[in-house]
Amino acid sequence: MTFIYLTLGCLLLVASSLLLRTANSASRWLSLVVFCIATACFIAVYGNIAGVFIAVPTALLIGLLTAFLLGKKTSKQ
Amino acid sequence: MKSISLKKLFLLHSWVGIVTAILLFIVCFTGALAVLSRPELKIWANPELHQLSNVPCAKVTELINHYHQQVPPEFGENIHVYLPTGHNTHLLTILFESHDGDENYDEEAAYAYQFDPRNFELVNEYYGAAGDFYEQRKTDAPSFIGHFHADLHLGRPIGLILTGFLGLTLLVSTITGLFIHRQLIKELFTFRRKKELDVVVNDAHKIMGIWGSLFHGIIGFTGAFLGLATIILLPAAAFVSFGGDQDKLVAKFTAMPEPIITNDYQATDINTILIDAQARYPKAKIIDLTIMAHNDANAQVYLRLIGGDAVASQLLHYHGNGEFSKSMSSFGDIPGPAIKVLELLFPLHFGNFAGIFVKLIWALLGLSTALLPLSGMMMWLAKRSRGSNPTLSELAYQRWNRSIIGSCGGLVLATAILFPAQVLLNNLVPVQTHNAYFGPLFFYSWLAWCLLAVLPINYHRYLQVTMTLTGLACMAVLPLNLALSASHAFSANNLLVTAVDISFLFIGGLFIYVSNCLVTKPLNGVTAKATREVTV
Repeated sequence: MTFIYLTLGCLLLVASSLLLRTANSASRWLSLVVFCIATACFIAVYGNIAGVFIAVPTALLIGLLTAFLLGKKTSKQ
Repeated sequence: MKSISLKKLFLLHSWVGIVTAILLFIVCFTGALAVLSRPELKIWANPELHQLSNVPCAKVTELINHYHQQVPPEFGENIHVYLPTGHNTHLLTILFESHDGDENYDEEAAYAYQFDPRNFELVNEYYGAAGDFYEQRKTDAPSFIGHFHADLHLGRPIGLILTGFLGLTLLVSTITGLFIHRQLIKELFTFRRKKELDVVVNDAHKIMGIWGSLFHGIIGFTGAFLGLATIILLPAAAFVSFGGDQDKLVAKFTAMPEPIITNDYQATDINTILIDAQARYPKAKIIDLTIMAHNDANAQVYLRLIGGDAVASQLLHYHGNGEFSKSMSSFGDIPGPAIKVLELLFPLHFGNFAGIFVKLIWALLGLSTALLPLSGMMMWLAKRSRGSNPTLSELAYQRWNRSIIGSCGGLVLATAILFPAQVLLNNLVPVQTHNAYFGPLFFYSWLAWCLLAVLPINYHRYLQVTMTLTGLACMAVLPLNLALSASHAFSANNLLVTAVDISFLFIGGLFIYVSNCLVTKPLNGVTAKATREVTV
């Protein structure tokens, strides 16, 4: 169960990061919502404090990797 | 914000970064590795710990009782038991300590017995000053790197003060960096990898800084606290509240006060205590025990636990008869939100509060922290060596690059060499002499690589050779372990060793791949002109 929650949390963070990459207001809000759901997955595994402490750095790392791998979204994309 | 203030912030950001860049890289890179040093890499480095499950409570109790009878009574005042979990010593260690020493020692003295955790055979005996025992403990590659990160092996307090101030400079650089790059959202994903090298480095510096700012800030703050707390903050607190008496302050806040010895015999029920602690916190790991006034009616037992549902490490207090008293923080049973915040600083810095997943996140973000000063320095150099009127000559640019590769690349190479050396030492050299190898091997290889930077060699080639050698050192771990060790990556029930060996192989392959890319795709942009240099 831990593995499933962690995988789901990470996938949601990837989705959140991709949504944030889309430069419009709606997708940014949606990104925040997806991030909150991902945080809930981490909280389910590690508890309240540790869950938040893990979700935030994981989101930062996934965001950084997304930026490195995909870069900024251009109009062609 | 006024442009003049921004300019000042930019100057502060640049100069703080330039002055501390190499030292910051050294501390951050070793810190990223140190996250994984205990217990994962320490278990990997010590074959005694490879296939260890829980240490049997009854056996530990039996050993404590048996060896307590062999030492003078005053050494039963304080018994420290370090369980072989990969957090402390690699052997099961039982240390009988007398605070007032004995007829031979005026200072704290100790009898220590160390057992192989696989079969509980006595491996090592010690009698002498307690401090010397801790100083002479067997080290290994991960512990060596962990200690290097903490005080740069400069000793205390100098090393701690230096790393503490580096934490402060990281914090200053993070905050000033955020003010300088105000368009955070716009620059979040700006990474133009197909442009010239200076653009790539510039973008990488910005996105690593922006995405990692929270992490860098927290690591800087907690690092500054850990470095400066015992050296500056503790004496300052003692000066303000206890008339400068540090001992009084420590006694006031100690989590484990000395009990009054009644001299009435009552067996200390360590077995029951260990079983109860495991039942109360099944996910946590007991890393050590402190037994005070063993087998006295007033005996007290303290267990240090790490992991489980608690973010910070916790201390369990039991009475000698096995009755549970309370669970508290490692600072003791002090109420108030300040202590709660204080106890969170440790796990936030070490990333040890929720298993290997968090540690990997911490290690990767730690690497990005290490790359920040390096990329910042490259930007600073590139800026000064381009344009119609450069302030840095081509030769000076090459020298700077070589010195960065020698110091920072040399550190990475010296660190990588320690791991195959660990395998060789484990299998070819007696354990008692291991400590003598790590320091010379690490510092001499690093020094040799730094000295190479003095030669007028092509710095592209220098970087390529550094990366290739680092890759080869990492890749050598798995075959060496396979050839020499009985407990290797393909042994049954040896998941951690398998994961570590294969990770080394993968990381080594990655280094070699990148170094090959450097040949096929030469660095361009601002560095292109610098390639026209004297080549040996």
